[in-house]
Amino acid sequence: MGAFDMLRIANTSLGFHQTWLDALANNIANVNTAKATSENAFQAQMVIARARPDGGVDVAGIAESDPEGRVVNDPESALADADGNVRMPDIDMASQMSQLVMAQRGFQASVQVTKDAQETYASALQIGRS
Amino acid sequence: MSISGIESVGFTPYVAPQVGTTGSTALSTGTSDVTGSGKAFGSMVLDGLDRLERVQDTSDQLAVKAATGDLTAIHDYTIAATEANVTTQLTVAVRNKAVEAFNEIMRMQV
Amino acid sequence: MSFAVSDAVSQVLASALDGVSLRQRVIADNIANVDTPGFRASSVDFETQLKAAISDGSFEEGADSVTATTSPTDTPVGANGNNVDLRKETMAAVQSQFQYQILTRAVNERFNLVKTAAGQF
Repeated sequence: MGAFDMLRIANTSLGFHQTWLDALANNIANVNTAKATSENAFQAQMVIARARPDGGVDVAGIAESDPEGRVVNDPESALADADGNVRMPDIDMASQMSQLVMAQRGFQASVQVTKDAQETYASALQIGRS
Repeated sequence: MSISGIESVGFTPYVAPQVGTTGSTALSTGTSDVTGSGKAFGSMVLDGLDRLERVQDTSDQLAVKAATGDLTAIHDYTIAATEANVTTQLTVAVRNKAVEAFNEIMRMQV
Repeated sequence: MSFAVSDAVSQVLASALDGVSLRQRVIADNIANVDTPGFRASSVDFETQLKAAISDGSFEEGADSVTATTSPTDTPVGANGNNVDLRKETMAAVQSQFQYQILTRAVNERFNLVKTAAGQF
């Protein structure tokens, strides 16, 4: 119903920011996941947003970071190859942390929009009620 | 006064009608003036009923829209419902006063 | 459902109220089963049937011509076979609550008009 657009839009935003938070949490958790040089490195996931034509936001897709990663010399590691190298993921912790703050802020703002929508509808229903 | 927001939904603002605007020649024209203001009052009552029917229809249409999920905003319906309610109360009050006045006149000892 | 003031609009509102109640029950069921393995969520649709019944004028007195349909939703299935999207169901619960309030307000208003007209004389 067109009357509840505000609620629907806030809901799409909640879904999008939740997906973003999940991806960031996964990236941060795997910042030290080493892989053998024969495999791809752990790839960080980046969520792509797209505005919906009828209002709101969608997850347009998920982009992955460079599979090359960083080749790091760690001869003690169980996965080290003949040269003692392993592949580490190409994740910038600082960038991930600041995105985390942004995603959280976006989520909280959408929750507030949901509450405001409910208050708006309630007061619209009160018109003419004595 | 024009309220553009609700006029788009089909309301016409209430303008209190004026009875007997030819008031300047009240005494001299005698009976013809009485007929004139009588006609004006009669058409005022009919206009009021027309308006009431329109307003109740608008309210019903919006209620059906709410039921089928086509309502664009909640306040569209609640404003229409309130207007229908208030207009009905006003019309009923006018009717009651008119009947009272009629009875009062009939009771007069001539 | 029969009303004292029984006309087409009252019938439409009564149908819609039935539909929204069913919807609320189904949503509560979905939310209760958010962790049940293998559970598939459903949704209720009565609006399309109601609109169709209104436009071809088949809305007769007393006819139970509008039945709400409950169909499975198409949200993605999780690891344990459960496809309840809690956020979607919560929003749907809020929305149907407001829908119910609008419809009960509509029914009240119609009765009030009759009461006012029949009132003091």
